[in-house]
This record gives sequence, structure tokens and C-alpha cells, in this order.
Amino acid sequence: MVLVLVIGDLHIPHRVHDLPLKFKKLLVPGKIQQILSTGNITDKETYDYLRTIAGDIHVVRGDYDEVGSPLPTITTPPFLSFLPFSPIHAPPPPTPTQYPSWPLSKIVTHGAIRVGVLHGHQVVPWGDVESLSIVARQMDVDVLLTGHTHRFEAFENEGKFFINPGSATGAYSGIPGTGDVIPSFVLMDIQGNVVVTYVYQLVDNEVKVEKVEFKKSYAASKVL
Amino acid sequence: MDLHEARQKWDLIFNDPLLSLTSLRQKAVATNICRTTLRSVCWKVYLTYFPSLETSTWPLILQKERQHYSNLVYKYITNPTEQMAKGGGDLSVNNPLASNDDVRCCHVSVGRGEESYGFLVGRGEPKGHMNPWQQYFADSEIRKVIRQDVERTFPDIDYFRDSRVQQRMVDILFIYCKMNQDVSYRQGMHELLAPVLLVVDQDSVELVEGATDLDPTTDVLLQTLDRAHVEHDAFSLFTQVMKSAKTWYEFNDEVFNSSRQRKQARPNVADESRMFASREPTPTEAAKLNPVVMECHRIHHEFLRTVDPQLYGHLERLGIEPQLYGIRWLRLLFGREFDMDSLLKLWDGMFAEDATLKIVDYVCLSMLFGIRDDLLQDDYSSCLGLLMHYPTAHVNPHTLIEQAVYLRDHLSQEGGVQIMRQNDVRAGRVPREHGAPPPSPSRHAGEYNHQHHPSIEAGTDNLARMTKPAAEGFAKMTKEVMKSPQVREINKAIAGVMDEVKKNVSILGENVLGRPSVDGTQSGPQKIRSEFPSGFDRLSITSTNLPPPPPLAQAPTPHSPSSRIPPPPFSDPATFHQDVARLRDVNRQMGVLVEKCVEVFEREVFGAGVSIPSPTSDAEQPVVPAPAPSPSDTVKEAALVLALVGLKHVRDVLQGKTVDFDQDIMDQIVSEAASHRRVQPQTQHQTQTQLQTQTQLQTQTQHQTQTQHQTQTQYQTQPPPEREKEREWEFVESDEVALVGTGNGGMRGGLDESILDKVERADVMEPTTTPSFQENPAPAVKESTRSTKSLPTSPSSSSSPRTPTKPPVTIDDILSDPSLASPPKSAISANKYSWILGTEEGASHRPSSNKEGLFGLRSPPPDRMAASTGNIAEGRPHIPRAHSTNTSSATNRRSSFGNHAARGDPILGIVGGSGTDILAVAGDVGHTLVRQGSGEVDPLDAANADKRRYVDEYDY
Repeated sequence: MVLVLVIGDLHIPHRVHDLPLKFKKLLVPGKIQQILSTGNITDKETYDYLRTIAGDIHVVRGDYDEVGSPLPTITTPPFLSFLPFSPIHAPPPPTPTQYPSWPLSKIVTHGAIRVGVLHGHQVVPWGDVESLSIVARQMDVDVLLTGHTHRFEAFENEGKFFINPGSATGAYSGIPGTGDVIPSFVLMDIQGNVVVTYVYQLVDNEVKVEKVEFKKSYAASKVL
Repeated sequence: MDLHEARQKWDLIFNDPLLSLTSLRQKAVATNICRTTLRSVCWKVYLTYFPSLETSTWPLILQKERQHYSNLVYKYITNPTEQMAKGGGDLSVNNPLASNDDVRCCHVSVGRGEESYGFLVGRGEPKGHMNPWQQYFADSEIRKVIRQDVERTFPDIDYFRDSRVQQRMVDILFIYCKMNQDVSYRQGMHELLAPVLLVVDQDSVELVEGATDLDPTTDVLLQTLDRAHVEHDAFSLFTQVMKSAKTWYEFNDEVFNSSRQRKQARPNVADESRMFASREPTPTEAAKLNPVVMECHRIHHEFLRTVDPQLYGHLERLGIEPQLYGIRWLRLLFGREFDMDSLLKLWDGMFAEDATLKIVDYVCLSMLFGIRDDLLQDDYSSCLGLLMHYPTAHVNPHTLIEQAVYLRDHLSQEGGVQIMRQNDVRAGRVPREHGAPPPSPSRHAGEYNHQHHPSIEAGTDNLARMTKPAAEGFAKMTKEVMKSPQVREINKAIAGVMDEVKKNVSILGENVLGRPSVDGTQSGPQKIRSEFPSGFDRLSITSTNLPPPPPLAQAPTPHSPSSRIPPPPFSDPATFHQDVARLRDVNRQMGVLVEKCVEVFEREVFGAGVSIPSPTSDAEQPVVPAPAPSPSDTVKEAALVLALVGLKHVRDVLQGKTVDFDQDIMDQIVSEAASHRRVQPQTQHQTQTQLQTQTQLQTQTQHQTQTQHQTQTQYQTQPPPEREKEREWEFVESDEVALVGTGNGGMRGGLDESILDKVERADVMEPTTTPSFQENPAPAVKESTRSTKSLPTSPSSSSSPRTPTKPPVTIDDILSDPSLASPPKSAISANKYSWILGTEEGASHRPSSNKEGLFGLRSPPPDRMAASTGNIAEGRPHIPRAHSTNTSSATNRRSSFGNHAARGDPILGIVGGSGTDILAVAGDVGHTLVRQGSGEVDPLDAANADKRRYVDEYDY
């Protein structure tokens, strides 16, 4: 039994200053084995906070992420190459072990379940079921985690399970028609071929928990 | 294992017509039945999983036990998961991240002391509605810890690398942990489970599908060894083992209290702990909380102390705590000490002997015995290494079990010795007699001997006999004195001289007087002349050939006990001092005798007129003295013989061969010397070597007498050979043994029969002096004690202003012509008593004790030095003192004695004055004489000298 926290689109500090306090109370160390983040954590401090909850953290790069973005390489201009030292004092790049350049997508395997993680801004139309199904097939995953829409979704399509944890901070979305964003994140309990998904939503400053269960059908995967 | 093989082995067990629970248990050690047949079945019987051997009842028991385990699995593993998955109740409560208010956080340490983990354990039953997820998180923590250990169980056995096996182990341990929340899971349990699971799984049999025509036995067998229920059976056996082993894993105080109540239910242990309560070091509070530490404590401080005090003392000295190795031994049931095969054998025996595993304590003991001799010779790190990595290469587990059973039944020192001897036999050595380790050439051996002196070491026979505290203190004091190298030097020198003299005397006695030779030497009389001085040169060599002192166990016959005052009970210090004083007097008399004899020798051998060697004599070839035809020569020969006999006798007395000093011999010699004093022999035969020795010794004498306190320089300039040093040590040891015997009053050295005969004959010959001792009443004895106390201030020193009751007889009078120096008896005794009274009156004599020589030995006070004539007279005043304490007999002889002493012949100078040390010992001989006169002390060689010295220091 593995408990996997799925969280993303925090947009700290650009849109929201912090996680809701009630969520912070829930997210205590020692319970969660793994964190899969759909990106847009944006700053280093938030990433470090997540790492305190669980050390095994996998993050994909969102369109606003600063931490995991590949840094522009600053090199000495050719006309100054005769100098014995570089006249441009660039800050040292983050150490690759701590802040690796995050990938755009990632696949994590838990037993029989293959979990794909993607921020989702690459998939157009954003949050479209068909497009996500295509991506899931391409990545050959049983569970596909995406974000970007700031709206919680959890549904099964063509024998695959699609989860959008929404925005954990309730940060506003630039997508037209989103409206008020409900802060939410998802906890997956993976046991064998069963994924039990607990959805934590902050409605009226109260944590609301829902449960969605997905069972991987071997027959379905064999057909594909 | 297939069904056929299992059936064969099954039949091996159950086809025994004499089969019974007892016989099956006995076979575990005797015939190794567990190994050859179905070990799991045997264990199930041993551990009372099956209470009887009636196999028809087994299926029912099996079913019950297995159902029990299945229920537990459901209760602790399946159900909580279902609860979580079902999502019953409020999701806001029943979700993974719900708050953990209901769960108490408690820290439980897991491990072997240094490693510990803190984890959450949900305790007690959930009250009301509880989030199953909290239980899940708590359980998963425990499982994590268990799995961590299980994964590294017996890394070299492939069976335990199987992940399914590991899962089984985790489940079993987890369920045990859930059932026993007080101990939870502790590191080490997995190593108890692993062999059990291995045994059960190895014996398991696959159920045959569709087999219907099974006979009832095979049916029972199949049910018993059902492979599908390996986990169930392993759990049941593990639980049985843990029933006893659980206490070793308990930690906190409440658990300890409960276990203590349990322990008190065992009466014998309770009695033992009470018995040892006074001597046993109290464990710390932390240790009290830990039953396994207490158990180690008990094994070490009670059991080991009882069966092997020596090893106990050694480990205590090194400060090796028993829990250092004991916790591992106990908790893992020796799992880390033996390989799997031996371990299973060991467990066979332990389970068979005692399902409650109390035998484990004794197995620990027998394991300690197995490495006992190595431990005793090792230092701290080696010992610890040996204990932490127990050498099991040559250890037979069944032997350990047998020894453990023996120790359980014979928990005493004798039992321990028996085990040691058994180990010796098994190792192909000669079984030892007592607890001491066998002599080994190891480099540690000598070191060890120095550290633990046998007679002081607790548990040895000597100490066991030495029950009286006074004797104990005495022996200790004596040991300290005898450790002084100078004292040993003297003892050795005297013993060496005596040895030589003895040889020569026996030869002479044979040739001249027709006495039988004691030691059977068949050399001619010419050998005497050439051997004595050369032998004197190699004192050390001959001293190493000394016969060992007679064993204490031999009860010596007291010499004519009817004519003696019976020995007073050795109880109070007053009597003790009296005895010592008597000893001192006897010693002093012996010193007088030796002096006399030496004087005779001087006169006869190194006659004053014959100091020049014969020019015709060849230095290479010993000159054979011409037989003396003249009557005067014969007389001289007889005097020599008498002197030698006297010396020999003193030697025997000193060495403890003869129990009592014989006054008659001395009187004989004294008279003999007196007669020869008048004869004044003019001619003597002398060899080149004798002359050389004489001059050499004279030089020595001059050196020593120049400054009386420089005797130490003498020893420094002439260091004894290395061999001598070794000898010294033994010498001291034997002295102590002798002392112990003397202290007990009844113990006396063994009697040399020939010497005894001779002495008795001498008694018959001249019984006149003996009554003087018989007349010595108890008060007289007391007075003699006092007189010896104040011995340095002799009444004979005329120049001493400190003795107001000084007798009119001066030392010059005594030392002068015998005819002149014969004061009346009454005068002597009056002098003596007045002198004693003077001593009692005040401490005016005490300052003389400041003049004691080096090393606490007595040296003559300077006033007497002034009064004495020449260098040799340093110790002279002792002589009249000895006589005065000797009551009133033989006054004439005494004065002649003094005359000879006054002549200042070289050899006399050597013995009498070669350093104050030898003289003091000679004085001791006199003490011994007096003591012997009361007929109660064995004047065992030089040990008495130490007694005297000790008393002197003690009294002043």
C-alpha cells in the first residue's frame, strides 16, 4: 500500500502567498510515501516545504516554474574570450541533485500501476478528455495526472484513470470561464491494481473528503 | 520432503515401543533424534504444543491452533485494511490524512541497546469511532522495523532470502507484536523465529490431492506437516518459545514488576538471591528496569560466583559486565554464537530439557566454562573478544546441554570443578585437581601468578582452610614481608648452607659415628673437605634443589606431645602473640646453635694456625686429608660431626622436615664446643679452595661490618642469578603455605621419619634439658614473650644506661673465659625477670627499635656494639639473651659458647655478622626454639622469621 500525494498549481508566491492552513495541518510527514506534483509550484521554498512532507518527490515543470527550469547558460562573449577570467559574474547554478532541471513529463510505476505526470498546458484543448486519452496512450500509463486547469477532475476513460488535482492553493486561473477556484489536492492509495483516490477540497473553509476508486482492468490494457 | 520420507521418519519416532514423553526428551541429547527424524514434530512435543504423544488427539489441536492464527491474521491484518477500503462511516474521519488525536504517541525502543527506533504504536482498543488509518500508519511503522530485521536474517542462508519467507516472518512477528503490546517487537525476535520457521518448513509435506485411501497415521502426519499451515505452526511454536524468552525482551518498569512477581514464584531462585543479596553488588536502577540485564546479573553474580569464583573474580577485575555478551546470548538463544546446524542441536537439547528455558542460564555457564582457561589468561580486550565471538568450532551443543543440566543439579564450586575436569578430558588433557588453570607455557601465565597469589586467592584450598581472621592477617603480613627480595636472599642463603651441611653431615655420620646416611649419599669423607667451601660458593644452585615443603594435607605427628604443654587454642590476639614470641625464642636458639656449629667448623676446618696452604698440594686436585690417627684428631672429627648434626637439624627444622627443635642437640654441641675450646687444636688440613673461599668470605665480612647498614649494597653488588629469582618466588609461596598451617595450630609439616628417629634418640640420650621446658608454666611463657619484645636492649650490655635493673653480669663477663663467666642460675633468672619488669615499667627500651636494620630487620643497638669485641660481635648480644630465655639449664655451656663467639673467627663472622640480616634470622631461630619448647608450634623454616619481624613491628 502506497500513499501518493498529487498536488500542483500552487503558484506561490505569484498568485497566492501560501497553502491554506487546514491543508497544511493535514499534510504532515510520516504518512505519505511519495509526492507527484503536476508543476507550477514556482518557487524554491514551496518545493522545499513539499520535500519535508515526503522525501520521494517527483515534479514536472509547469509553464510558470522557476525552480526546475533550465537556467540560461551564461558564457563569456567571444570578444572577451582573451580575458583570463570571465567578466560576467553569473550566480552559480543550482546543484543538480537538489534542484534538477525538471522534466516536462514523468512516469512513475507502483507495482502494476503506471502513473504518468504532466502539467497539461501542452495538451490542447486544455483538460480535454480526448486529448488526455491520446497522451495517456502515448505514455502508456494507467493513471495520468495533469493540472493547469485549476479544477479538480477524476474520471475513468477507456480503462485509464485521469486525475486533475486542481490547485492546492486555489490560485486563480487565467483560463476563461474557470471562475472561483476551490483549493484541492488528491491522495492516491495504490494497492495492487486498485487506486483509491481521496480528494481533499477546501469548501467554505472546511476540508471535504471524497473518495474515488479505480481498478485497473487487465483485459482492457491487453486490448490496447 | 516428500510423503514417503516423512512417513519413514515419522515411524522412526513412533515405532519405539518404549516411547514416552520422557524418553523422547532424553533422546534429544542422547541420540540426536531431532536431527534424524522430524524435528518440527519433536519440538512440538517438547514445547508442549502437543501435550501428549497420543497422535489421535493431534488433528484437533492442530485445527484449533491454526484456526487461532487465522483469526489473528484476520483481526490484525485483513480487517483493518477492509475497514479502510470499505470507507465506512465519515470520510472526513476515515481518510489517510485525518488527524491523529486518538492515537497516543509512545516511544518504544527496539533493538539490542544501541539501536533504537521510535515509532507509533496504537495502544489499547480503539474507543468509539477510530480512524483505521491511524492504526494502519502505526502498524506500517512496526512492519517497517520488522521487515528491516527480517531482510537481514541469517544472510548466509538462502532460505531466508525468499521474499515469501520474509513476508511470512513479518506477518508472524507482526501478529506476535500485536498480541503482546507490552513488549511489541524487539530486535532479536526474528532470529528466534527464523530457525523455527526453517524447521517447520523443512519438515512440511505437500498435501496429496485426491488421496483418499490414507491410513490414519499418514492422515495425522499429513495434517501435522501440512505445508499450507507452515506459517500457522511456526507461529504457534514461536509463541511457545517466546513464552519464556519474552522476559528477555521486556523493558519498561511495569513489565518488570510483573516479571518480578513471576520470578518470585520460583522459590529456589528467590532463596538464592536472598542468600547472595548481601554480597552481590546492587544493580543500577536502569538495570532493574531491564529483566534481561537482571538475568545476566544473576548468572554472573550468583551462578558464576558460586561455581567458579576464580573466573568470576577475573571478569570482575577486568570489569566485563555480563550483559555485554549475556544479552545477546539470552535474547537470541545463542543464535549468533553457533551455526544453524549446531544451533538447532542446541535448541533440541534446551527445549527437551526445559520447555520454560530456565536451562539457558546454565547453558551460559557451561559456555563460560568452555572458554574458562582462555578467559583467565586474557586481558580485557581479548576476553571481550572471546565472549563476543564465542569459539564454537570444537563445541558440541549436546555437551553444553549435559553440562548445563549437571550445573543445574550441582550448582556449587564442586560442580564447576567437575565441569572443568570434564572439559579437560574432552580436550585430551589431564583433568585438573582444583580450580586453577593447568600450567601452560603461555606468556600470560607468569603474569597471572604474580597477580593472584594462590594462597590468597579466594576459592583455593588454602584459603578455605584458613578460617581464622587472625591467621589471615598474619599470612597477608608475612607475604608482604617475604616479598622483600632481601629477605628472600637471606632465606635462600641459609637454606643453601644447610643443604650443604646436611650432605656432609650424613657422610660424616656414616663414616665416623656409624649413623645411617639420611639421604643415602655414598661419597667418601674426602669429599667433605673439598665440597663444603665450594658448595658455599654456589649457594644459589643448591638452594634450587631444595625439596619442596611437605604438603599441608599430611597431618604431622607432634613430637612427644605428652611431655609438652598442649597448644593453646589459636583464638585471641594475646595467645597469638605468645605463640609468636615462643617462635621467636626457638628461632633464636636455633641461631645460637648454628653459630656454635659454625664456630666448631671454623676451628676444625680453618684452624688459626693452618691458614697457609700446603705448598705441595695441587690446586687442581683436591687434597685428601690424611686420616687422623691421633686421638685428638678423632675428637676433632667427632666435634665436627656434632656440629654438622646440629646444623642439619636446624636446617630440617627450618625446612619443616622436623617438627620440633631439639634442645638436646644444641646442648651436645655446646658442650662439645666447650671441650674443644680447651683443647685448642693447632693443626688442620686445608685445601687450596678452602683457603680461597675463606679469604673471599673474609673480604665480605669486612665489607659488611664496616657499615652495618650497608648490607643492601652487598646484595646489589652481588646480584643473584636469574634462576634464583624464580626460585625465590616459590620459596615465598611455600613459606606462606607453611604459615597458614602454623596459624591454624593443628597443621604441621610432614615429618621426616629418619630425622624424627634421630631426634627421639637424642631425647633419650640427654633428657636433662627437656624438663626445663616442661616446667615452663603459662606465666613464664608470657614473660618470655615480653622478654623477646624488648630483645634489643639486652641486660648483658653493661654500658647501657637505659636499663636501671641492669644485671651485674656484663657482656664481657659472659664472653670471656667460660670458667669465669658462669653466673649463678638464680642470678640469671633474676636478671631476666628484672629485665622483663624493666621493660614493662616504661618505654625506655623503645628507642632501640629505631635502630632496626634495613628492611625491618633487627640490628644490634650501638651500645652493645661498643661492648662487643670486634666486627663479628655485631650480633653477639643475642646469644646470652637466648640463653636467659632458655631458663636456667646448661649455664656452663652457655658461657663457653660465648667464649667461642668472642674469638672472632672469620666464618663465625660471616654467619654471625655477615650483615645484620643474617644475624637477625639467626636470632629468629632462637625464637623458634623457645616456641618449640612449649611444644605447640611447628618451626617451619624461615617463615618464622617473618612472624617475628611482623610481631616486632606490630608491638612497637
